[in-house]
Amino acid sequence: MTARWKTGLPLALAVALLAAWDAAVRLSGSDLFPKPLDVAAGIVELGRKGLLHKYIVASLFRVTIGFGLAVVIGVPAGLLLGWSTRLFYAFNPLIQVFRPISPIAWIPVAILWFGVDDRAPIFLIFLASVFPITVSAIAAVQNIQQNYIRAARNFGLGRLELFRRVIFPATLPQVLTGIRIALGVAWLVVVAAEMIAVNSGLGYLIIDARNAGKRYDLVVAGMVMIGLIGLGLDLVVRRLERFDEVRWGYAR
Amino acid sequence: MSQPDVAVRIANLSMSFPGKGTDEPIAVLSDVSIDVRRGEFVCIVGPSGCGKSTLLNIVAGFLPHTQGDVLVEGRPVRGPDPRRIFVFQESAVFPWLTVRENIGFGLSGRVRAEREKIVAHYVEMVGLKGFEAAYPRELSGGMRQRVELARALASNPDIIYMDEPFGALDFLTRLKMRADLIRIWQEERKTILFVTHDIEEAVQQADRVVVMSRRPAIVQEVVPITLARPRDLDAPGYLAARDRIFAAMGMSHTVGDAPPASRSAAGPDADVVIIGGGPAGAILGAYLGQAGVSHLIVDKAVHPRPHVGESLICSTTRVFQDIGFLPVLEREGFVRKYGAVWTRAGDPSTRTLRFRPMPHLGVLQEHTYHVDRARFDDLLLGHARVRGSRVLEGMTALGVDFDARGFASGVRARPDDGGPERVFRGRIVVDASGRGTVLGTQLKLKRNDPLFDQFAVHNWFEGVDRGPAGTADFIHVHLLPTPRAWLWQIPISATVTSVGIVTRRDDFVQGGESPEAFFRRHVASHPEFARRMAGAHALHDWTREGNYSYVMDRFAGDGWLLVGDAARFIDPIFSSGVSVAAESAQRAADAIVAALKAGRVDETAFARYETTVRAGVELWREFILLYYQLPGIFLDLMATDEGQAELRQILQGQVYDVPSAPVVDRLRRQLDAVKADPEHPLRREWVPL
Repeated sequence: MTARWKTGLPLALAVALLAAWDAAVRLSGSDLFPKPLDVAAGIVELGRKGLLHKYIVASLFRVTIGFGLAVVIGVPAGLLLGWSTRLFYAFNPLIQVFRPISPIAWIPVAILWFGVDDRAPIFLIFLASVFPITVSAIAAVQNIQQNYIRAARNFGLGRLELFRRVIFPATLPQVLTGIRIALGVAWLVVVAAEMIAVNSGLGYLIIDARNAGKRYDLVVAGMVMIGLIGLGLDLVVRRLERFDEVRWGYAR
Repeated sequence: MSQPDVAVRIANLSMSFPGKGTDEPIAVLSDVSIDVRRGEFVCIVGPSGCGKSTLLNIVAGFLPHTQGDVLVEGRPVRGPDPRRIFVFQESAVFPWLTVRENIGFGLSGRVRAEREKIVAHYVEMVGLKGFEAAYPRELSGGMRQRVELARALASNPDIIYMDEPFGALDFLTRLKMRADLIRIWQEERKTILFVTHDIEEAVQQADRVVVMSRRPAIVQEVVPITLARPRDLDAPGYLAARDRIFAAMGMSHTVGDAPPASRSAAGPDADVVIIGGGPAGAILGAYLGQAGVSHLIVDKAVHPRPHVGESLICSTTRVFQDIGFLPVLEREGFVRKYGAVWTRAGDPSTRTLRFRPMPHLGVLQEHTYHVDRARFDDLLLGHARVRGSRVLEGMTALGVDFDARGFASGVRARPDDGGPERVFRGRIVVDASGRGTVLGTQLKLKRNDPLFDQFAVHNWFEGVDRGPAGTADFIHVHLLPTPRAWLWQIPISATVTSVGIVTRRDDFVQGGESPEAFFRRHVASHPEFARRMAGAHALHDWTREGNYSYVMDRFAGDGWLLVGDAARFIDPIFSSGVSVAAESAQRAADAIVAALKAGRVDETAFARYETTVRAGVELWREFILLYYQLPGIFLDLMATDEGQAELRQILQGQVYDVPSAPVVDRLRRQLDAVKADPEHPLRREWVPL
């Protein structure tokens, strides 16, 4: 397929879906559910009032802090647990118990501990993303080709050097994949958390637009923004996967 | 106390691994003693799995040992040491570093200018100039092994340990790597301890060859090679050394076993003599090599070989995994085959079958391959050599000799360059001569299969439209209006597509056309496919192959077996050719190893081989017959998930050692129903045979 087709086809599909959406709303005669143009107008309105910018920044801020903490703690923890069999046996059951608990289930606890401010969603985002990151880092270390370790030891590398020059680069592709998955989850969770635990952000925008005046054009506008930013975040991380230092780790 | 010039002393070394649960420990090495002198090149050869790699890992300090001493420069080995570098079989080049960074990996203590100088020197020495900034994934397998070798040399070790370092490379690359290694060793004068199961490799390189026995490995023999380098591979001294090692290895599997059943005074050339180096012979050779059975392959080597059968099926993956050939298929970039598509002239719907893994057979990948047979067959035979096959090329087998008891005793052959006729004696003769059917013809075992009196015309094309992108790399079978006539469409490379027509023989003979006119007429009868061929042009002369299917009355006898096409050839509509070769070769290898071990090579030893292979191919034949009589039902079946699941069993090649094939039973029932009922709605679809 040529490049033109690769962008042309999804664009054509998007246009067709928008047209179908528009037609469906008109045919149903609903005056509550917005048409595509209403949503676009909603986005413009939010922008003019300065809310769009404010809410996006609020959401991104929470994700940056919560997710950043998860990376800073999860990656080293995972590498360590993957390397040390003893630590792995000690901590793995705990991780496996906490991992399946949906971050949503933590919302009441988070509000109890932190009240209605930024710390609650940050805590939830941290919880949601730290497990995928840790688990993928553990697996990455455990799956390192034995030959790399042997070759490195053969060249006389000490423990720290081994970590820096072999284990870290060897695990980087898989760790990055974990980070990408975790970022997607973090973005899902920030919206859910903002619906309940704070009064700003894109999640808050959605719930507020509905509660305050049944402004479904703004509800859908919020959803569209969430989707677009999620796509953007994923593209950024995918960019990282193209660097020569990690590209070897992904199938063509 | 060590002598001054001994670099490595292995003294009375024994090693065993703990058994599972309460099992006895598994003894791997038993009382092994080897001295390696400084600057010496020593090769350790032995059958696969004999423990020679374990030995090298112990010497390098990666594994502990149970008993005895390992001294390097007079000191016991306590762990790996930068003064002795290990070169691995599976490349341990770091994929996240460039060639330059990899080679400099062991030089981090040096100042930068010095490091760069050393790296440049070794880049040059292993012939990688211009690739310094490349990453390993951009290099071929041979180049990656060069990087690893350069990395080892750059850190200036006293000793280099090499564990089958060229094992994953193709034949020609191996030859080149060996020559380069010798050149480098002569320049640098390192001590090299080199493990391989390839006898030729050992004789070409080493000062001394240490021959190990099967597990638990002992040192069977030490053969000094005093020939000057570069070595002439036809020199009498070379051949003598090689044969001495062969003999030592050939003996090894009878140590402790029953004495050989029959051996003439002069002794056989090998335990097994194989006629033909096509897929069946090469796969059998690889298995026998792995089992440490001495054997040789007498090969006519006509290139290119006739190459019907360019598409493989999934069950062969199991065999390629067994013999370590799968990495070669991947590395050589053969087109991956993920499934099959059927179309029918005048029928807009197509049927697609996507392959699935077969975990119970250990096959986890979803794809098999389309192959250019000339290249594939060459690589496979090269791989058999890697696994220890001795291949005599340019020898036409004339027939099989039998001894007074009626046992096959050897193969008569004549060199293609006109030399005198020779006899290669063996305890077992295997005919893998393909459609040459040397032994089947000699013993008058051949029966043509009248139901498959078929004929093929084929060629390679550029510019074929392979259809929708999602299935472009599938095999396509295009059914034609003429009964039992079909076209294949097989992708050979990114641009080349193989297209061939198969039809009944009289269909071609009666037409009186040229192959090309015949081909074009049949393509035109399938308008949808004809459109796809509109921009195509043929690349070669037209190839015709006729007189298609036959079966031998017997597949084995006293001291002989038939494998692959030499036993049975059926219509290749479901890409069964290489599969029959692979499956029969693997089962023949099992039967041969057991027979030699038991010291009985009469026909009873091969009875089970014959039953299994015959049943498998017959199941296939019946399926094809049913298919030709009811193509419409086959296509309907393909439209349901249940039908696809049943079909996959056959189409992925699981026809051996199976109690039944539900899809065959189902088609048979439906055919019976159609035959019995003149009003049956599918009656007009029925093509009576």
